[in-house]
Amino acid sequence: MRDHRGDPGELLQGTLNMLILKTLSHGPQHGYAIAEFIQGTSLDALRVEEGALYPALHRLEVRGLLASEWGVSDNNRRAKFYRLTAAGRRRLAEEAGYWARVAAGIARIMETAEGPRR
Amino acid sequence: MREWLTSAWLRIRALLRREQLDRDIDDELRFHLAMREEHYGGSGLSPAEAHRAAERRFGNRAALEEQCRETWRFGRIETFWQDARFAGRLLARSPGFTAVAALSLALGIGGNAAMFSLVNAVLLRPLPYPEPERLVRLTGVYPKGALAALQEQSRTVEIAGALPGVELNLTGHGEATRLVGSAVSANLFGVLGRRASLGRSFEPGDDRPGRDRLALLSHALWQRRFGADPGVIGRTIRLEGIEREVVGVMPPGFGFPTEATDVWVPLRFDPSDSDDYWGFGWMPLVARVRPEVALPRVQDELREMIARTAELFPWPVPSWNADAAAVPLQDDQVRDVRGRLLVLQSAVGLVLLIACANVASLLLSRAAARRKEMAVRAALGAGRGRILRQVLTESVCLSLLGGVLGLALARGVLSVARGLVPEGGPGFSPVELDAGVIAFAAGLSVLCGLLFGIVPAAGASRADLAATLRTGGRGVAAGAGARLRGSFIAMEVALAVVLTVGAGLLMRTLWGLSRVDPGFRPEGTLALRVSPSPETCEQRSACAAFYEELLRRTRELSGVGEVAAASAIPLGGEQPLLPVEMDGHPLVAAEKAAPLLWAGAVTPGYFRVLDIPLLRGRGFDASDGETSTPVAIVSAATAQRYWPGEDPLGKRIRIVWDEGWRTVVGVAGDVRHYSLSGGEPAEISGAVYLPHPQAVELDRRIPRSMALLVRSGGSTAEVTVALRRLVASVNPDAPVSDARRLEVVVSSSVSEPRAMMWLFAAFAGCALLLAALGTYGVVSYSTAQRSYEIGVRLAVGAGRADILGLVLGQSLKLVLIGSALGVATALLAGRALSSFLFGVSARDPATLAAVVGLLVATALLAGYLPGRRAAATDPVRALRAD
Repeated sequence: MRDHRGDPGELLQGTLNMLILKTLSHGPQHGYAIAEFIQGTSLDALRVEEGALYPALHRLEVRGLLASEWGVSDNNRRAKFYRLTAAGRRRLAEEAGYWARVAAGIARIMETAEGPRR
Repeated sequence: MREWLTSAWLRIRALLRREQLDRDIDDELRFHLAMREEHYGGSGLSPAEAHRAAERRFGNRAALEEQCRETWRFGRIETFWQDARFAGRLLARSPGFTAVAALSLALGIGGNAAMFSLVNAVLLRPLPYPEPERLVRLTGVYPKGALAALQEQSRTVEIAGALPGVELNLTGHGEATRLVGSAVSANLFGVLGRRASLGRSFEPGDDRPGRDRLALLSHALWQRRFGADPGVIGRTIRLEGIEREVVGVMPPGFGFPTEATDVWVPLRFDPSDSDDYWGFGWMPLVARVRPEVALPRVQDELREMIARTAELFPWPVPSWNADAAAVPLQDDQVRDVRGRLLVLQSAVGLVLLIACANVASLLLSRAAARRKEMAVRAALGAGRGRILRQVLTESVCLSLLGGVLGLALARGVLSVARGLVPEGGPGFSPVELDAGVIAFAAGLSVLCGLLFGIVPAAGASRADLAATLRTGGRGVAAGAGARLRGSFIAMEVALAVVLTVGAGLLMRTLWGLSRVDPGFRPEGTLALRVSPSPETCEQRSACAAFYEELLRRTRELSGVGEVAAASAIPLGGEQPLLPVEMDGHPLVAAEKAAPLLWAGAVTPGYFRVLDIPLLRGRGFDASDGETSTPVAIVSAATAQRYWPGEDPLGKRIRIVWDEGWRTVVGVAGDVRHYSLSGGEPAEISGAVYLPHPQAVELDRRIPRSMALLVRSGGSTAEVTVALRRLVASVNPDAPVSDARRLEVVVSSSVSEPRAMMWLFAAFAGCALLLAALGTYGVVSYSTAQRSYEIGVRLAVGAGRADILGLVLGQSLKLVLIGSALGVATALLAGRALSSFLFGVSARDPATLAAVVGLLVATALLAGYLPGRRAAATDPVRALRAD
């Protein structure tokens, strides 16, 4: 397997799960579109590897957070569309709240000029 | 929890639609690739370039697919099942390899399972009494008086006694029967912790005189003689002419002190009869340690009590039970068997080790051939752990197959091995293949699978991918692998040498035993035990007359030759012992105990029937009656021991309680009374024969139960029937038992060494077979690998004989290295076996040489077949092939 360490934009698994759930909260999508959406919306800051995306999708599906069905894509190909389940929605809410707290915390640390007192 | 249920359900659904899932994953990833390709195409790349770029970005699709599939599986179980199925297919595809490997393992595992079931039944399973760990045997022998004294003194244990081998006549219920009884102290059942299943067992006080006319039946006797009638409780039966009330029936399977015990009667404790109280019924004791008491405290107390009790004897007993000890009852009962079982268990362990080495080397050869397959798997994204797991699954499957075959084999081995355990030891559980043994075999199989699988598996998972694929899997196999296989074979050979040497030594032992002159001629002689009732033998003269009459009428039977009677037959297990004083060796009471002699009561024809030579003097005749001069015949060794260089005729012997002396009138050849190997108990100083009318037993009465010895050409059954009828007509209250041919008595006296020899020989045979197969496998494999080299040799002018020599040399080298190791090990390990040997040293050079010769022959055979094949190589073909 390829070594992903040091690859810029590499996502932690937990974060990737959250981004997938968030992407699908706008409506059902296939894997390719999810990857493109994350990359495009993050202005290429986040790149989703296929090697990470599909196992993550299947894991979420097995856990009942996503459901899937086969449909037709914009360019008339047969594609597997994922959508959020009720459980997935709940999980997204939990993770979003957690993320907001962590992000705010990190931001505050990064923006504070003074160091810890000696 | 809900999430877990949902996901389980989703997984089960996926399991049912596996193919659909595989297709879906494939389609999904294909779609992604197509989209990416389209995207690249849109940015100006040619279609081919776009395709390549998309593939490149995508990475290892097979691995990704596998990873997605993995998500839907039930983790390890399913992976294992998948591996197992694959392994099964693989094994089925090479039936030759599978058969050889599975049979090798079957031999090893089967033998181990069989031995384990013996060890389990005899050494490991606890005795069938509550809290068996608190039961101890007090070694030594104790008369009733000593038992009573110890019971009173002890604070650490509760002590009970059981006098074994009290044979009793049951009369008045159909045909008179000889029963195996035991006289026990009333608290025995309490100490053992077992109650009667019907009625009651004995209770404290049941062994006081006047209250002791009781009997307790074994379950078997109750069924056999009393039709399992519950009404038997309270009835009176006649045992040895004494009326006893039946108080209870013991549960099935209870047998103490021996499994064969039919009936228990109370010991009679009567201090007023001091001869009986202190001089009769020497028995070992059993005791239950009181709670919270440690064994060393019991030892200390026992030593003090022995010293104190020795003072109570009416006569001095200076060295009585000086080395008595309290040992756990279970250890005591398996003392004789333990060594034998452990030696055999180690032997069969070696066989298994050989089998494992064999299969490991077979697997190594295969692993070399499967290098390419493994490399492809690795290239397709199988991790190192995954490959390791798969290879190990294969070897465990193989091993389990061997285990199943082995269990079938174990049943066969067991039928021989049972002969090792003395029949009817007390509380021995039956030996069988039970759940425990099956679990043992299964565990052993898995362990072996891992053991012999780990080396090839480690090799496979370490495979150098690129190199292997480049060479197409050929050529890289030699080197370390070949050396490893060679050392496996050398080890196998070494172990096989050790086992074969053991088997050889045991065979020499048995051969030696079969050539021992037992001092008498057993052929054509039948022995039956006749036990007239006590009334018949109340009077010495009546008892002697009964036997005289019986012998006279027996001689009149057709087809019967010489006839005699004796209180004990050689090798028959009886020990008619008497304490005596020998002429010229006065007993100084305080210094030493009286010598104990084996003292058989015999009738005049005895020496003729058994063909025992009379070396000096005369035999007994009809004139040696009750009232004539007391006489005795001693064995040659006894005469030599007490009167070396003197004329034994005319010397005198006195039984310690007699006033008068008996005169030695003859010297008989030495007879092996105890064992063919001559291992006589140290406490017995010699052998003496007394004419029946003058003879006594330890109870100071004339021997009542005698073995009738009949030389006859007729079949055992016919003669037995005729004699039973005859005895019944002379005295209806005299049961006949134990009809045996003396040849059978002699041969069953060596049944334990014989069973041990056969088992060892079987193990050694397996070991040799496995070592031969292993050598053959390795040599033929390496010969196949060297076909190019052999082709070159032939092309540059080597002869066929040279090639054959080359291959034979390789095989011989392995075997010689192994043999050298094996001989060294056998010399070191020989001590473990030496106590089982007779007439041969554990380092017997002839046996060692024969075994090495056998292995060299095996090596030549194992090398000849591949050697001939190699010699027939067509050099042109061999050179082209690579």
